[in-house]
Amino acid sequence: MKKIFVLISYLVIFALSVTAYQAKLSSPIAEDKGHLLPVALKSIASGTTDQELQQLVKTAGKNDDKLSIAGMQHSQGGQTLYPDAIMVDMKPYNKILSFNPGQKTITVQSGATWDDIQKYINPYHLALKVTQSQNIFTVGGSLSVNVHGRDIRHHALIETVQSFRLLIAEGSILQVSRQENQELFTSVIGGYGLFGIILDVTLELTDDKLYQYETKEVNYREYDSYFTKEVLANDQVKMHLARISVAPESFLTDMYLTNYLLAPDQTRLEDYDSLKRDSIIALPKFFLGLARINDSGKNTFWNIQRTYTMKTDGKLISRNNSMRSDSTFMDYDHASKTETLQEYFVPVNEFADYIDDLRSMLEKEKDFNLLNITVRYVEKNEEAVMSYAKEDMFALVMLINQGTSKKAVKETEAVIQKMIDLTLAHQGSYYLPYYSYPSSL
Amino acid sequence: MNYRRFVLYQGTIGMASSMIFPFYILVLKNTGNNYAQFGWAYGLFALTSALTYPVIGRLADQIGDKVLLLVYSWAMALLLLFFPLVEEVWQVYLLQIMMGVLGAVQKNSEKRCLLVMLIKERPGKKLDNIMSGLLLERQLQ
Ligand SMILES: Cc1cc2nc3c(=O)[nH]c(=O)nc-3n(C[C@H](O)[C@H](O)[C@H](O)COP(=O)(O)OP(=O)(O)OC[C@H]3O[C@@H](n4cnc5c(N)ncnc54)[C@H](O)[C@@H]3O)c2cc1C
Repeated sequence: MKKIFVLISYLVIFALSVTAYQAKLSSPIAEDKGHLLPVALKSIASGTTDQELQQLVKTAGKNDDKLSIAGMQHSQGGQTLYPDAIMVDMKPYNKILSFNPGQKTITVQSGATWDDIQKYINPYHLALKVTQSQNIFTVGGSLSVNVHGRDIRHHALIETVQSFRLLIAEGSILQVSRQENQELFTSVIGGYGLFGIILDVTLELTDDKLYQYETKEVNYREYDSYFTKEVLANDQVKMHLARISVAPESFLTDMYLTNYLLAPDQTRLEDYDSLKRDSIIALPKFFLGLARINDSGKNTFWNIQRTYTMKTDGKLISRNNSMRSDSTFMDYDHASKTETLQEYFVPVNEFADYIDDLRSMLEKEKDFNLLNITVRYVEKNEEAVMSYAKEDMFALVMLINQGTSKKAVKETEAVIQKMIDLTLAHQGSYYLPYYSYPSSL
Repeated sequence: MNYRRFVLYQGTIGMASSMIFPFYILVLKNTGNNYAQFGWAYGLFALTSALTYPVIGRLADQIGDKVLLLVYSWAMALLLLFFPLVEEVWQVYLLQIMMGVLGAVQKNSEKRCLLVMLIKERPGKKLDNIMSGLLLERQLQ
């Protein structure tokens, strides 16, 4: 009798534990890849058809639930999260719906990644017009921030979008293009998911081409005139990417750059057009690890990166492959630290003065662990309501290693706000997918 | 308790704990947000174990090891139900302290059990031989 009693009590407690655990699971804590904003959600939902997503939106409306929308969650400021909301995970909604190689267009569901599209169109010798430097992002997430990349002849992503369908809060679906619901076209692209769920998108494609690397070292003072005369004015250059040193030995003075020129012999494209997979990342990962630790690590990282890049001069690469750069070597898993990004846009002719000011400001911030600055170009494009490219600008992406504690976030914020003020003082602007360090929009 | 039962008991406990161990480490690591907290959680376990060991040793003589082993098994069975629910580091610390006490209970009683059985089985053998063997084993653990 006693034994049975003990056994039953135990089973009851066991059942209680399981129920409590399930309750905990059903209000999951989610965070984006910035790891600074864990948020307790009501639940995570997804759908693979229009009907399922529509149902989800309608039910949420009835129950007065809030919805947040998530792609790969590489945005770092909680744009995909909202306390106690239902997070709609768009990743399973990722089919390729139609493809027209003749007209060079493709229609995909918004959870598809650039990688999905590249694999699909590469055999037809077609390529995307605008993507980030990496291909890990979803189409919906990219449209919602209106991304830009290395291509200097096509600019922000909005330029390459023909139309999309939008599921709005009432549960109905709108067709949106430059002709239909035009106002929504320019606010949803770059609208951070605030207007509804982007369902499927029709994008313009271009031909896959063979490019040849041209590499060069320059001083930051010469960069803007070099870029204007030798890069922009030379219509053979299709893409461009530069780095400016964050190593103490050459802090914000030395730069090296890569131009992607149309290769003279396009018939050789076939030898280069199989899509590359992740290359061996142990070495870059190791050197980036050194850079995180101290000044001499940063010097080593810079020298190795520069030497390696300079050696690639003359190498050939297909357009598709140049739009699928590695990022796995940047993956960083640390219990109390994370890596965040910032991106600032400054007008081309302000560049050198801006860098001088930035240098004198950052030299005083000894504890600010800046690991890398990449420089790219965006041409003026104000089609999107929330546009960052108010004129022809250089875009500086900064990679920052920082702590996750409240104190560390405050310290980083102090430095970043100074950088933002400085950027604005040079008629610049800043990019919104990153952590909400700016004090206002 | 006879020898067969004892081996069965030890075997089951041993198997269960080694199956749980990897997950247990993961729980500790995920709850703490830095490695120092992970270390403290582990330290607390060892410390309480060490502090309670002598007390439990004396208790064991009075209560008997069968009861203690029973207490250990049931208490562990209950404690483990709380692990999935842990959210804060202090909860981990609390559980670690309780696990520390229970660890001492188990180690103490198993040794006492074995000792009693050995004495029964080989009355002729000198006790201090067995004792030093056991002491050595304790130190190795
Ligand atoms: C390593 C790294 C490199 C980067 N490089 C570049 C770069 O080269 N150029 C550049 O421009 N940006 C770059 N970014 C920024 C990146 O482009 C954005 O963070 C982008 O939004 C990430 O896409 P995602 O799929 O992760 O979107 P998420 O972060 O999941 O979502 C971003 C926003 O889009 C909304 N959203 C997502 N899906 C939908 C949908 N279907 N309908 C409506 N709204 C939706 C979300 O609510 C959110 O507001 C980079 C970011 C990282 C981390």
